[in-house]
Amino acid sequence: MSPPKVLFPFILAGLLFLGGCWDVEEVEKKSLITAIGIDAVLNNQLLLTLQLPNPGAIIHSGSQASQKKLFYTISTTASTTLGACTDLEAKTSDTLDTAQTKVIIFGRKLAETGLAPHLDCFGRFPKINPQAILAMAEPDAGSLLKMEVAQEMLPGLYIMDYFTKDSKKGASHPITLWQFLQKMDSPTIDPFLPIIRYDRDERTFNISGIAAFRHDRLAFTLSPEETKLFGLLNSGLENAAFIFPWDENRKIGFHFTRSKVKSSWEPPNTIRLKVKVEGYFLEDTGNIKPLTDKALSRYEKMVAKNLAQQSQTLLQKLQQAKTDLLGMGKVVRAKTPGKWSAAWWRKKYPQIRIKVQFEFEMSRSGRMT
Amino acid sequence: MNEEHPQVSPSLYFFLIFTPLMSFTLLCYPITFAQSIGTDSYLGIPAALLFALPAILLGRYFERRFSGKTVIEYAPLILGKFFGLIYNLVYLIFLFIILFVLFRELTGLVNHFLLLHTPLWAVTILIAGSVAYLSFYGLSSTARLATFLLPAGIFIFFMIGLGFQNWSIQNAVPLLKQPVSTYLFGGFKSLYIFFPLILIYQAPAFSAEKRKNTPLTLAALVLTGAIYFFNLLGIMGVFGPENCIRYNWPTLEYVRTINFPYLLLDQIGLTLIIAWLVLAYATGAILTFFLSSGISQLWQKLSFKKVILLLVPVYFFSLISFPSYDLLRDLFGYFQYAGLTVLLGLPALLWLVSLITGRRGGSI
Repeated sequence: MSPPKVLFPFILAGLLFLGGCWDVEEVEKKSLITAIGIDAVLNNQLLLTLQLPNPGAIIHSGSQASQKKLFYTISTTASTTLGACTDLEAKTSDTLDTAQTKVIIFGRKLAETGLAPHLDCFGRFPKINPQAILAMAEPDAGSLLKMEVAQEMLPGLYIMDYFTKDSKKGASHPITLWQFLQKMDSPTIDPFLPIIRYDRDERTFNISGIAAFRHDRLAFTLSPEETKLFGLLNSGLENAAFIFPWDENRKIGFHFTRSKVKSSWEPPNTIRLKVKVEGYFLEDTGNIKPLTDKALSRYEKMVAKNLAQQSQTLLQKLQQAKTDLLGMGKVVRAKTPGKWSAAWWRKKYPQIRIKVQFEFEMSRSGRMT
Repeated sequence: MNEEHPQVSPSLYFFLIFTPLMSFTLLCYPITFAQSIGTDSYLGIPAALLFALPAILLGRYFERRFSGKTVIEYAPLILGKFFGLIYNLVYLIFLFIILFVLFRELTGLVNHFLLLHTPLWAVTILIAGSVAYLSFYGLSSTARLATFLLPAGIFIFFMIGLGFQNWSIQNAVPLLKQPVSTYLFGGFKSLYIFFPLILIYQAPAFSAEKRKNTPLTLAALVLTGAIYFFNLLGIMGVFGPENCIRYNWPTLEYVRTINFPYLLLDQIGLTLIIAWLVLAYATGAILTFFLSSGISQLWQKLSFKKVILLLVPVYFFSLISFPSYDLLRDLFGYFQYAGLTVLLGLPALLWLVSLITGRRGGSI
């Protein structure tokens, strides 16, 4: 039996399907979703808004003659995310493609009612980008996605750009889809979302503060200052500037570049956090000269003390809101394997004592002595 | 043994065992470990290795006593014609089931991530046809194919390493705080990861250097175990057990968490799928070869090439008549018991009968 002859029909039949005929979709017939916004509206309905690029306008965006908008939005209400997605397919002749989705934004009201039912659909979409950035909009996501930014670019990409810049992480606290799902699924840590608002006067997005969740529900919002502090307590998100009052007429400012956190469980009821931060001295409104070693050392001690006090207050607020943003549950689970359970930890967390100790090392004092 | 096939060199023999072991359940196995053990589920891999070792010892016994013979030939010598036939039928049916599970994983993955709208039958024709084509030219070319695909294996290993980018030790501890029985049970329950090891009852007969067979099989098993351990350690440190079980293919999702802007492709998961698919095709070809070779040894009127051609419609109709991927996962428990029986239970019985009846083949 000569193999090629025998297999010839099979190979031919196979060739017919090699193109994946059923899945052929030309790029120009696809609408790439860059951003998704979901809001809660009346009667337990969802408002789903999609931001889609306008390729013609993007190509001519450099020319002055172009007056077209770089993007357009489509939206619909439905009882579930999937229902809304299906309805939206009817609003465009192109195929909606989620593979390039950069940002998914939830409205505050929806966050208060719980995100798990609405995230389930995104968890199942095979093509959705797990690195898509998640955020919470104030007051709602739909209207935010319709806004243009002063910089001539797609708002979805603008937001993505902002969140993926290392230099902005201290303020923006980016969280991706897979990271949010991981924190939501884990009983040892709670998720958070950065908060995003739109400034109508300056046509910019204002990303400041984070929304702390208890499992999938909004439990508490952190102010921009508290958010920076949270970054110091959460290695990897530490890049931020702090201003400390020295006395009534003098303020000193530092830019923190690194923080290392060591957490330990001290039975029966205490968690100790040792935080080592590094940073630059960047501002002194009193402008005391010359800067001596002794003065620098006093600054370091003052900063460490101040950060410890602020952290203690923040952690108490988080405990009262019953949201374990820092993942203290992991620390305790590692040391109490027999006792630990999700239910036990939910009860225990608000009652534990958290002691914070800061150590600050100034790595630069600036150009002036 | 079947004289139609040339003997393969030790390196080709290694890849004949290693490729199926490495690719069989690579993308989905973390689920059962995470479910039965928890945060330190990677410790279940050494336990599973421990349970797989007796199979190697049994294989070594038969290989030395019945040198150059496959299980299809020595089972009737030990059990007699009738029971030998039954034994071999059970063995071959299980080999088919392993192939079926592999193909269903393959079609499931293709249908989920690559060809979402393409009907299952079209994907199945492609897979069954290509696997038949690959195995049609005999063991040597199939084994060589597996060797050529080594870069795909290295690439997967590299991806697993990069996944540690988001690793946190706190997700992967407490360590060793559960009873030893939990790890042993977890390893036992997940022994299916090593089911392609049943080839040791057939493949050694095709090896040119018999002395090296056992060390090479052991090396393939330990290397696979190490890769699986490393991968599971990474997955636990990134997802933790609770999040890991959310996904159908945790290894794939783990690789999709890699994020190096400007350095790597946005869709890194896609490259992993392709790397795994080529390994899975090679595995399908290797297993198809041994299945058809076994059938042709059983019914000597059928050449293995004819059997391969007959297997294509069997693959096709069995796969399209089993459209639910989730049903396959539900039936994994039964697959587990069947595998344990064929990998360890029946060979142990064969060994006992061989000892009791004195039908021990040639000298060592």
